[in-house]
Amino acid sequence: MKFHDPNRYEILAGEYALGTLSGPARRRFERYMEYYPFLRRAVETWEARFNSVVEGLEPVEPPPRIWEQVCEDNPELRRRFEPKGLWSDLRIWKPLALFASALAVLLVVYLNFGPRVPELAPPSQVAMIQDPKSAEPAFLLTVVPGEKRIKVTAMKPPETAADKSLELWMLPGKDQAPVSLGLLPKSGSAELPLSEEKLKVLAGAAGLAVSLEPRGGSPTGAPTGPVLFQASLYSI
Amino acid sequence: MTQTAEQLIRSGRGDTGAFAELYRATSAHLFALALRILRRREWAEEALQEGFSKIWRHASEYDRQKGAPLTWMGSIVRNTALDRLRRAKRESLIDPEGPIQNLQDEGLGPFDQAAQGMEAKALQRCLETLTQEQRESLSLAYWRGLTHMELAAALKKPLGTVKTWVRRGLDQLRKCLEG
Repeated sequence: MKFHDPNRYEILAGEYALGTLSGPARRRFERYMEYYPFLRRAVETWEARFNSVVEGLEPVEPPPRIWEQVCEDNPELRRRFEPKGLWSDLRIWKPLALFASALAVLLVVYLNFGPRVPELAPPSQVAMIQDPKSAEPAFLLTVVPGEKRIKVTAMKPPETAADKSLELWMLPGKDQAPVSLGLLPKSGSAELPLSEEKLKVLAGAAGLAVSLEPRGGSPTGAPTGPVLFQASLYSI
Repeated sequence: MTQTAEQLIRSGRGDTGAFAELYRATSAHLFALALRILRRREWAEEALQEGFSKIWRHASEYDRQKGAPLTWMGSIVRNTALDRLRRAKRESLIDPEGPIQNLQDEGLGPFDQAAQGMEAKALQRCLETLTQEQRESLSLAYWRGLTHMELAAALKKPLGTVKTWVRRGLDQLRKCLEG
């Protein structure tokens, strides 16, 4: 094969990138590419030319399982995005969570026995979500089973960009995928509705996590952004 | 630097969060590409999944000399899709002669509708300087992964004629894009 003539090798590289070069001619070209980096570069240049068409295609949303499978296939991604990873991280936060729970208990006691709220039904589970750096409470959560909802109060929530949301997840247990409980309010308080099934799982859940997601929540049904907080649930 | 380029470069340094953002930003475009080439949803899903695994593992090889990030990822996904297509042909899951009858109906579509970015616009402009046959051969090869032989069968022309169309088309395209 004569490669001195750019007109010749450029066209071969183009045929290779396009895919029309096939069989022995294709394999031969691949061998040459290993020896001559300029051929590899010529192919990449052609690919960049042709594949610029991607920008103009009408996007089609792939099903969420694709992302899950990509994570499954790559150890670093699996550790980061699979529930098992979250679970092992959880243990790091245990001391903090214990502290948070103590605060939460105090608060619940206050709410129950304090002066102004005699009609408040006793919550069965509470969690305090804390800023791991400042140890300041970010959110207080109480689960009111009779009412099938989680009451969330933003205490000192982290600042998030306008195009981001904070999503609350429960971690059902080892090797089980996190289940979304809804989006946390950026200020004030909110109520997240709970289905009967979620309520049941939550009663035995290993903990909670909060991840940073695009506005409106994770597009895949699983946490996609960084996990900002984790906390344990305490039954009262 | 665009956000996508930054996400890709950070992915190359092992930043899993950046890769998740990259996936969110680009997977729908790349899925559209795989679907367009493979036409079967299950194959396109397979190619997208495999393609993104490759993107994760090879992200560190990306630099801006290699073009726009989406284009670079597009090359990986298209090559993965073409490998799938070649395997299907070998396993006779598709008859290379089979779907070709209706190819002409599609016209030269792919490149026409797709022009958006600057590079895509330049490509579009230069494709218009090609003859009808050259343009059609390149389009079919690009979107259907057809070899010279399959192109000849599809277009019902002698192999030599089709090869000449492809080569002259590529030559003209390169001179126009570099000129």
